[in-house]
Amino acid sequence: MNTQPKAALSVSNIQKSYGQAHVLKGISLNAHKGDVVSILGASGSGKSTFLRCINLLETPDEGSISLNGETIEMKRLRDGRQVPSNTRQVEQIRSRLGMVFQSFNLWSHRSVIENVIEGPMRVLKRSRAECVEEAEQLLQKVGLYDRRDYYPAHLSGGQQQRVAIARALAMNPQVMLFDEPTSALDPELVGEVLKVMRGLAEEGRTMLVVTHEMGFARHVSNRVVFMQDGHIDAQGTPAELFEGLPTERFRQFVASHQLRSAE
Amino acid sequence: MTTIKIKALTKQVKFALIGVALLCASVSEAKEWTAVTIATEAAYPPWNMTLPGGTIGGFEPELMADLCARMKLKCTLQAQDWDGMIPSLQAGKFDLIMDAIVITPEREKVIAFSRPYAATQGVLAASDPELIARAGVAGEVVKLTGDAALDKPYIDQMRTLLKGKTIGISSGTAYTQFVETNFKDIASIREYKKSDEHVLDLQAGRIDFSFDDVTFFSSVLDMPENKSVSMVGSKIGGPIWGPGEALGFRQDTPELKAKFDEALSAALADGTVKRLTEKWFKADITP
Amino acid sequence: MIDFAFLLDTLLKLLSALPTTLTLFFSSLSLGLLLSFAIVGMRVSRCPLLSYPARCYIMIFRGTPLIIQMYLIYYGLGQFPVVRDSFAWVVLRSPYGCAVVSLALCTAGYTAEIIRGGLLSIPYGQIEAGQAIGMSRLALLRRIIAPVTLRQVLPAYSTEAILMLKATALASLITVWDVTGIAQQIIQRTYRTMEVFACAAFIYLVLNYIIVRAMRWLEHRLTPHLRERPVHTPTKAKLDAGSNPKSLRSSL
Repeated sequence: MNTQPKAALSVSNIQKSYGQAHVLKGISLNAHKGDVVSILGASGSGKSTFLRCINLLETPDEGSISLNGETIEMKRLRDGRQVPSNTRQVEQIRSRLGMVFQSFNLWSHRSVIENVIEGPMRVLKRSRAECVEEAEQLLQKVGLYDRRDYYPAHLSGGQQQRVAIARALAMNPQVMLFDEPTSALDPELVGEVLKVMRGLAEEGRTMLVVTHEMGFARHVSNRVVFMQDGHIDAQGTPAELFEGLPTERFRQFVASHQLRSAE
Repeated sequence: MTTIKIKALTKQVKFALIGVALLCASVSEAKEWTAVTIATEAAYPPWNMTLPGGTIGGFEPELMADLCARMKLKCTLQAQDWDGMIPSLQAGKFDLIMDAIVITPEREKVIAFSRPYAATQGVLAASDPELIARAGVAGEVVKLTGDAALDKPYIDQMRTLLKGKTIGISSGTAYTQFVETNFKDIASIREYKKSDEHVLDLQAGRIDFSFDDVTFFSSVLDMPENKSVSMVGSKIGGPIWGPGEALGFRQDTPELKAKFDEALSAALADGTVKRLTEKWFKADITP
Repeated sequence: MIDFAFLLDTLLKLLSALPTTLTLFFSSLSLGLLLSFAIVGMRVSRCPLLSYPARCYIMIFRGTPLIIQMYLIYYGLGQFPVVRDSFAWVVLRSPYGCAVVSLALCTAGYTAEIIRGGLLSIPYGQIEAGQAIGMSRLALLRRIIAPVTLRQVLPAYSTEAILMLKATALASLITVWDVTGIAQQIIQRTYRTMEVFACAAFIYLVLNYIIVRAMRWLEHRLTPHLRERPVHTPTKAKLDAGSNPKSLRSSL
């Protein structure tokens, strides 16, 4: 495992409240280049909110986010909240963070290949021919080249998610964020998506994955973070967590998941 | 079983007989008029208008009340736009119409007229002081015959005045044809649904002149909001407008028309009509 | 029994007014559409200074009959000297101008609500996906929000277009010589209500049929994603792009 002095993604003291509910109580995380970080936790632990704070789909009330040394500039409003002060910078940073959503979120009025080339063409301003060529290669990689002219409505869930991954890859992101990518899929389709994700991990992509898939967390990722009630309850290598079972809460979590998968 | 069948048959026969009886009754009722519905515009003062309380008043409603009393008929007045008046009459929505309707040959093709009870004049009106000065405030009455050759000198006078101007008229009136035939080539003509609409546009400056009945203008020009409008030129009367204003009936109710003709003759003879016209128009406009 | 000569003559007279009806329709519809963009933009804004006036506008123009609006604009405004002396009088002086203004203002109110309904029905995830990729607000509007909204509102907007075409008939009440105006004029002279109005109704029916077909064609063109799933024929993986014309198909 390569550890470099400068982290690819550095997130510190993220706090977020919705009204009275204090969902995130100070989360800090560093991901280095090539890290595959699995974020586990029960529902309501705040893991999706945390991920969405990283690319500012939710705005954290406190805390800072840095991508490869560049920190997102924030300014404080009169009521104490903070908001990003430089929209252009936010857009640029987002373009270097790829996100894959639980509900795929493909653009329904565009075909598969049009979905994939949209980002590089409109945001990265590359030529259409270039984008199409690269898109076709990416679609081959995820196994959907021959459905490139289909529309999302014509694809199964697993196929749509693989297109979504290709779409995120088309931006050549420095860090990829996966928000429960297989939670909305039928069990038999989960495998094809996990296979693609495994391939990306083996390539050396930096990935943050919020997931319920214990197998992925255990065998593919190189770091596991367990969140509970807006805190990080336990973190470490898969071995440290799954064999060591360092905290009571984590033990219960693993036990309940094993019970479920045994059913 | 046979008993039930006979009973059912008897029931059917009973209903059939009742139906026939009703039909006969209604048919026979047509021959004896006890109540009539009359349509009027209720927006053409002083002939007919809607009074502040919502009731319909004016010269014609009062005349109608008098006639109905003579004939011992129950009369109900109903407001109806001039536009749809003749078609609605033909459709049977009411029995006769009364709206300062001038007898014209085209109209005589489709409806039957009573004897005339009034004969009025048409006149131009303007709102622009310059035009009023040029045309001169309306004074004497000019009688036109309807014969193009005889009327030519006066019509030519009007043509010089109206050349290049915009004239507003109410659509479908006797004046519509007069204005169109004589001035369509030299002026632009705008047709309005209601008479007060062209008065409004006259004041707004959208049209230069209006042409309508003298009696209509006399009543609206009294109102403070219309003080800029004046009648100009000469009042035009005479055979050009035909026999005069009369009541309109469907062509298939000659007995009703006869009743009204009788009542009208009586009202004209004993001076009732004259009295009413003088009350409402401040002049005697009986034919 | 049926007087074909009269019917034909009436049809021809009515068709001579067709350009008026059509220009009324197209100009008021397009002006109203442009205005509705501004209004819906204000309506969905978070700033109350913008959204409240927009809400008032929408309520007024949807809540009052079009005929009253038309009379107010034509006769009502004409009563005020301040209006007559202003530059707006150039348009408001003519009945045609007033009709276009009135129709446009009315359709803008309805169309703004139609568009707002379309905006609200965009799956929010698709907008987030655009944001996550780093699209600017303008790019998001142009590439995601506008196309998806367009597809959502087409059915409702086609209804609005049909209603507008029929509403142009009201212009005859403020002395515009459109198809209905000419029809009424003919009836005044001939008293043959049934035949003349039947001809006029036929003309409006044909026009509306054309609108419906045009809208349906547009809907069909814009929604390949709602059609049947295509038959899958696996193609061999292509390593050189540029030779397959299908993948270079341009999109809206």
